[in-house]
Amino acid sequence: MTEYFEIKNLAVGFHTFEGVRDVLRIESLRIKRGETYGLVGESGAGKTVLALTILGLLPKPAAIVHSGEIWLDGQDLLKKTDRQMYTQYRGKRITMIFQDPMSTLNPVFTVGQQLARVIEAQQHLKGQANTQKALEMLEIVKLPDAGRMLEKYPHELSGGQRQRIIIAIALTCGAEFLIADEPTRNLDVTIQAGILKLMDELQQEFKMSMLFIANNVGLVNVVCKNAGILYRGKLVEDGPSEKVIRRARHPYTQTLISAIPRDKSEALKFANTVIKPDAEHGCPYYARCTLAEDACAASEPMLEAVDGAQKVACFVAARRQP
Amino acid sequence: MKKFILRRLLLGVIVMLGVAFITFFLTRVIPSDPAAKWVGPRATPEQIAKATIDLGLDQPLYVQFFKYMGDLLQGNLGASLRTRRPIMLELQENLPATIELVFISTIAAVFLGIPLGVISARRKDQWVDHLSRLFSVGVVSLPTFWVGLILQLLFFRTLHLFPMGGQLSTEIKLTMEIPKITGFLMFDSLVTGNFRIFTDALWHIVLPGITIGLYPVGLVARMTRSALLEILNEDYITAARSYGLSERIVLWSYALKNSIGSTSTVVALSIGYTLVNTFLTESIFSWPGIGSYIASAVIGLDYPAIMGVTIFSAFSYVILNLVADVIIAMDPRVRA
Ligand SMILES: Nc1ncnc2c1ncn2[C@@H]1O[C@H](COP(=O)(O)OP(=O)(O)O)[C@@H](O)[C@H]1O
Ligand SMILES: [Mg+2]
Repeated sequence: MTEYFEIKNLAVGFHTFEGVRDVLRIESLRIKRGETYGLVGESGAGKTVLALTILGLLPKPAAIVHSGEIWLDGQDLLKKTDRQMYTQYRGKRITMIFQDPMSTLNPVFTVGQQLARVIEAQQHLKGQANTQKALEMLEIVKLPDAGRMLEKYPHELSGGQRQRIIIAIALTCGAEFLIADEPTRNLDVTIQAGILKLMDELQQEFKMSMLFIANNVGLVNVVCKNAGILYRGKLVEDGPSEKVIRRARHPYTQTLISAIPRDKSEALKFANTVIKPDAEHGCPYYARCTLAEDACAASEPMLEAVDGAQKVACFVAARRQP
Repeated sequence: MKKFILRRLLLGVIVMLGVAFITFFLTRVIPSDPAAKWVGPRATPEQIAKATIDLGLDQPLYVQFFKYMGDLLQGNLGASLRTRRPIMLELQENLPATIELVFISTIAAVFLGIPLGVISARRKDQWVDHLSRLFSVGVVSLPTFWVGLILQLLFFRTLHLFPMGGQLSTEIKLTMEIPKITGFLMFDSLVTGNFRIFTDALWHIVLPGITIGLYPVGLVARMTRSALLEILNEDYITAARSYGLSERIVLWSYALKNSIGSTSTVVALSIGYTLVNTFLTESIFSWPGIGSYIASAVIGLDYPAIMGVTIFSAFSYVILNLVADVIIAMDPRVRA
């Protein structure tokens, strides 16, 4: 039996001029129905690649899925043809909020036209009913003056307004599984909080399951029940978000958490981390790890349960008891 | 938007003035005696002297220039040295045949070139794309006269499928009354219900139409493809797909509308190119248009006619560019 959403041994790479470069190796990732899972990782870790893999929208022919399974409600998405993904999944059961509100909306269509297209495709509403639905969606995402908003082009809107529109479009699909790719990353801090709150409310209201991608651990604790830490394409820690954050095991997670500086000396602490050469067959974090041993360079650690639901991919951390 | 168009119009006027200026002086450098042409080969020296005064050729150059510009502003391009008829009238007679050709090639550029580019971008590096690119590069690099001659050789000489040249068969020209309403043969014959003339004209336009249309189709296909390839990598395209929008909407609406700037520019450019290209094509196919007209004007050193056609071509270019600019200006991003 697989979980409602479950990834098994996923490996994704890209063709580059220097040959194939592997960017994603996720042994296991599970999300229960109706739950929000937070995925944290620095820029370039492979978060967006994961999102696009789930939707079957990786750039072709640059990307290759080497192996793996992505289960959603008993079906392996990686076994589906592009046609099946289009007719049964994209916009129907899975939808996504993209990371950059500046580039996600089509610049030459009005907000109303873009909403209308999706409403027509997914709700099969036309004319007056379609417009009615669009207005309703804008109210749900708490955009005032919805009537005039529909007439606007993306460049006439602020970042926060755009992100609300994007959320409205994604929700319009009525999908049960939502991927939110750093939905607040490019927004001002003051606006971030509003968007986060909105997403949390909507997730409850629409009873969606959600993969919430963030580049900031702080956000995850607020919104997610479970969380995982992605480092260079590998899930290095996974478990209830409270544990992952309060009692981080993996040295990388610990670094991430203490990277939220409380004072100056702490902020500078990691500036003098010794950088070793990469270990080709070893742990991906080896080069930056302060606890690394010889074994870490020799082979790659796998996710291992350390404390009930908490799992960590680190030889050193797995040995140590908290 | 208004200001933008006004600025463009002003620029167009400046270009026109420049062209008028340059053509005027260029034609004066050509070693030929217009007055002698005007009175014909058997004229006496007295007659030539009189014609020189009549034509104002004895006046200082700047006086001639201002008189010429004054006439130009009133739409008067002067009289042909060979026929003594107003150039404007002769242009009007020759223009429809050329416009028919240009129209056909533009239709082809838009309705064949753009879809070809779109499909090519969608199927990048698949065989459709390879074929379409081969076609585009091929037709853009083949010389027009060569294409014209090969088509004549193949479809007229060998296969006897299409006529070799002209706008109508001699038989039809002699036996039937050719309707003249707008001067556009195909249009006129169609609205007057002369289907025999219409089909005959259609038959005649196929080869010159292909000859002149290949280049624009190839050029537009290539530009559309490269513009679209860039656009298809944009986030809003991936996003549109993630909302489950059909590939038809994503490609033909979401992506294509974003490429309208580059596509309309290249369509306008290729119309300009087609106008120039009529020179050769019309000569090859004895097509009674502006191209044939200027060819004989050049051979006859009929400089008012040469100037007239030049001014007219420049004018079309300016208008075409203006239209392209206006289309681009309708892009909401530019409009802001
Ligand atoms: N189209 C592509 N071609 C080659 N490499 C890519 C492509 N898209 C992403 N990558 C690589 O995959 C890795 C993960 O990228 P991404 O998923 O965008 O990171 P992030 O976690 O910031 O979302 C990066 O190292 C990036 O260079
Ligand atoms: Mg990303």
